[in-house]
Amino acid sequence: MDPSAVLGQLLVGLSRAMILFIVSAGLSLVLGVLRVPNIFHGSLYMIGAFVAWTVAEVLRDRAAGLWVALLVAPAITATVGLVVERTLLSRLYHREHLMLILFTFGVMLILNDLVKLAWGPTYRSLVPPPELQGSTLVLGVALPRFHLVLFVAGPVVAAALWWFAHRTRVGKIARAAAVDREMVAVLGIDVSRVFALAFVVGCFLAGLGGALVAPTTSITLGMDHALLIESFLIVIIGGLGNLWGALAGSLLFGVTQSVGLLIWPQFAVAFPYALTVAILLVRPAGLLRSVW
Amino acid sequence: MVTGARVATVALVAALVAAPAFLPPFYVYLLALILVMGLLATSLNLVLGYGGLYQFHHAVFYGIGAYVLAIGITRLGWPAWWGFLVGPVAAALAGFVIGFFCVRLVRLYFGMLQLSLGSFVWIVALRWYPVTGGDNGIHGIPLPPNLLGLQNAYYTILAVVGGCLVVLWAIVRSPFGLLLQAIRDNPQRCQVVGVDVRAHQLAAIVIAAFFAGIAGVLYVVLERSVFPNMLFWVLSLEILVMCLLGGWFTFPGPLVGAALIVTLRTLVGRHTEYWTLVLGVLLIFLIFFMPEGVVGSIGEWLARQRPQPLKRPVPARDTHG
Amino acid sequence: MDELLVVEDLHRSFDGFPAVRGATLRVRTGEVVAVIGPNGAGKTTLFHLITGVLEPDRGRIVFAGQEITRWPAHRRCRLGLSRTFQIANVFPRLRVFDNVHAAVLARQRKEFELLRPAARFAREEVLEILERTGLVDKQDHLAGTLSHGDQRILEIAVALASRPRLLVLDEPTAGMSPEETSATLDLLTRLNREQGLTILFCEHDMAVVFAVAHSIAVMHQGRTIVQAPPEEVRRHPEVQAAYLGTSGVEPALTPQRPRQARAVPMLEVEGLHAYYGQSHVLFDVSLCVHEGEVAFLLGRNGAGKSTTLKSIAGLLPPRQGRIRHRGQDITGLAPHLISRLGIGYVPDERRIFPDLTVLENLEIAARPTGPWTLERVFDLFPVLREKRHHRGGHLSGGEQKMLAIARALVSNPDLLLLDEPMEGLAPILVRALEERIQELKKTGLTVLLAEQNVQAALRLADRGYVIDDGRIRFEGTVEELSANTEVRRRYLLV
Repeated sequence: MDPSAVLGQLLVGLSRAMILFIVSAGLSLVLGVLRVPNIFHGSLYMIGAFVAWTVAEVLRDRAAGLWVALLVAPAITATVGLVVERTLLSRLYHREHLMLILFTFGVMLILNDLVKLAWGPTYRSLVPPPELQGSTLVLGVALPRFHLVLFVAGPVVAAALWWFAHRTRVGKIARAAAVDREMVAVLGIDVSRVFALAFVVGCFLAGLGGALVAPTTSITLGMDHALLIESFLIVIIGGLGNLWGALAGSLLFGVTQSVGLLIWPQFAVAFPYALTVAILLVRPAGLLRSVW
Repeated sequence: MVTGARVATVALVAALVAAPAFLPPFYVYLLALILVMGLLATSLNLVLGYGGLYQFHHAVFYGIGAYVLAIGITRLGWPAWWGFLVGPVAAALAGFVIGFFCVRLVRLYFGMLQLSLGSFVWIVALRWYPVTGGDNGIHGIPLPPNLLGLQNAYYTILAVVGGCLVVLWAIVRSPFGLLLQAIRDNPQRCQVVGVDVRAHQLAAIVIAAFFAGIAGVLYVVLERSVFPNMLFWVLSLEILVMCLLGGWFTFPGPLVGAALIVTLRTLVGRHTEYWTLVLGVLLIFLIFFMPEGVVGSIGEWLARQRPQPLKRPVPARDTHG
Repeated sequence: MDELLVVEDLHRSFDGFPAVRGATLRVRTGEVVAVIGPNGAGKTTLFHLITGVLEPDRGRIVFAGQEITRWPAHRRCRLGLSRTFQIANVFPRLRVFDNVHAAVLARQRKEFELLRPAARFAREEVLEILERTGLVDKQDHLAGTLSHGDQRILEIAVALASRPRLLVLDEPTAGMSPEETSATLDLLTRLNREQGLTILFCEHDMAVVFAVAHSIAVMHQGRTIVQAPPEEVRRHPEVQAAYLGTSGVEPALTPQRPRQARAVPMLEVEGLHAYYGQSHVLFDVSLCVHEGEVAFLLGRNGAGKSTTLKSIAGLLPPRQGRIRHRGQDITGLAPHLISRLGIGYVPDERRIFPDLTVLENLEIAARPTGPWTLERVFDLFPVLREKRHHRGGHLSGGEQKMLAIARALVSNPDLLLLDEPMEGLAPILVRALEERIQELKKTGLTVLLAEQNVQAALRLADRGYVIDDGRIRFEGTVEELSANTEVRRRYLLV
């Protein structure tokens, strides 16, 4: 095998992993603190992509179009998350776990159809601004220039999340609430606010992932399905609620798939799934420790 | 069964048998579809409502049953009857393999592992074009002449589903079923009373998978096609919703749920293409206002009219995690 | 008689905390053996190890001649080892009949009988067990709706359904009324004498223990100190020191002068009724605590102390009754609001956050509304200052207790609810903690102290209450309680 081809695929996989990480980190955060697997996380990712496209279209002649989109899209998905959480989800915290999961499934069904209503079934593409078009050489391999943004965004998000969880008071409270929400309440802290914050951050990340992926792929209905499953698998193999686990899982996923294209192109898509199965058979609770 | 329920069941069966005589073909088709989905949902409820397991990807077994039949006939040249046998057995086998790993985990972890393993099956089916037809699935599957035609298909389905439901009902009331519910309520207690909890749960999963496989085979009898979305997690969640809608602590609940969902989907589908929106709203409404489901709520209402204590289990508050 | 059960040098730790280290036990066929020891001595963990709910790190267990050390629980049951749990552990959503029925079916290995209805099997046997345990009239009730005492008896019935050779009972009479206790005692004695059933149990009720046991094993801090016939154990000096909490020359309980009662009490509880699901656990509980005083709430295991405190803290909203804080009605308020009003709650399970450091545990609770700063709390508990960057999960049990109290203090409460702070601590630590609480008392902090350790509580408190079986049985000063031997013997066993 040609080493530069492998390197090329590795880099592509890495950039894909950055998107996967940003989305999975959001899912993992919600799962860790609220203990809810948010089924409409993928829909928010899709909404993020569509909103980014719309904003870029509207600001087509302005140079900063994409950058504005990268701010507006996550803000919108965060708002959607906030509204859903405050009005409906928070009323279900005392209910059976399964009900919470089914609730998020219901919201997913609604959001997906709303996207269809708003944007219709045709697919869109988002062209990056001129300075990010074309390709550039990275380690001797030609890579689309936009991917450099991804290589920056991933670590920035990781650092920001780590700082939030370990250096801010709210973050520490969130980590405590993940383990013992009752005790946090006994200390005088309104746990539902903590949940709301964690949820909103998670939804923000989903939208950000969608906005970042928009210039690299076609934006269609149904782009959420495969991604949701992948995010879930990543969170499962990484350890529920574990940020580094989400990173590790995303890297494994992204790289396995893209390198797989060199080995067995037809089934490359299945490689990460096979990897997940293999990991879970050996370590059913995930690679790293889960938060609860 | 209580006498009132017994009479109602007999009347229902009679109506179903007579249906093709006076209903237009489209409604007969719908009834057949409802029966198939009802069997699938009831098989899920064995492990979900009675077993308390987070069976998040039950559709996989349904899909495997259907695909094995389809592949057997079209690619391997099996006679149909052989396929009808092997399909559910293959589903049961898949239930054993997937269940074997899942029962080592509890609750949410159980569900998520199942979701992963099932998704792996889905993506293989999606990609393995020569065998599974990939994206398109397999169409126009040949069947023996006495199964062709809507009426024949309908009566076959009615007979098989009826038989399966009788068996499932017996299982629920058997010692196996009683212990399964005991495990749902308190697995630790069951262990110290001498029950091998994992083996028991695994057996339940295998049985549920077997019946799901039968449902898959029946679907092929009705549609003579298979599609990869039969293995997709969205369908699994839809079956969960059917159980919830009908009432997942009751036996007829999932059937009722299936009937309601299929009917609603057809009715709503005539007026709008946003059926999923309606389903989503319905689901949220159920969660907030009718968590016992239709049958469950009726049961509760009836119980309030009678003074004695209810004998069926009352859903308890679960703890998270 | 040969030995039915032999436990050798058993060890088990949880996250570094050694719950059991060096437990031994010998049970001969036909004997009744009791295991006693203070809370936290490792009795329940030992029982979990014997019955297979937990696996030991080291050691051996031999039952009926077979080494069962790592056998799964269900296999041990099939060999003849049955148990009941400390907290009533039945199938709450099944009827009483079905509870026993399930166990009988399991014993008959009918669990894979798929097609014939369950109702057809073993009816007579189930009814017979229900008759023997006195539950036959309640067979159609849902198990979750039974009274606490009846649930404990149902547990025994379920355990009997497995036709055990050895019945292991974890605190069988906990939370029972005297009538229920003697009925249970009778049942157990009958089972032992008439059917030769070997019984192993652990208990706090010394009257029960000394009445039925042929042999008593004493555990302390995870180890077996001695196993011998009752009289020998009663006289054993180490047992007296460790368990009965006294070396025999304890100074008389010195009464404290009661503080001045203010016009409006700091805390008033009136007619509280509380439920765990369907189970009615608190009956008409009323108490009041005045500002600046330390009030005791004494009672045995399962008497309702923790439940009362949980209700006040807002974790278990009462179904009936009122709770007032400085005259303000706080019944049914959310726990975080109650905390912000100035009520600090220290649960008996500590519940510190294991992943956060000591400092972080304190930081998230800290509120600048009063004199308790981090520094001051560190002055009170210097070991916490030393270990302030250690993760909470790495502290010892005693250190975690201190952290739990410190955490409540930094929120600057005016009322502190302390749930069994002395539980499971070595005597030196108990003394140290007592001194700290004395210091707290001097600062004028109001404390409601729930405890089993009667001696320590009476040294610290001014007045208080005795609770038993969810009902208040006594109210008075320390002096009055010291004089009232009847109450002390009946409800507190000292």
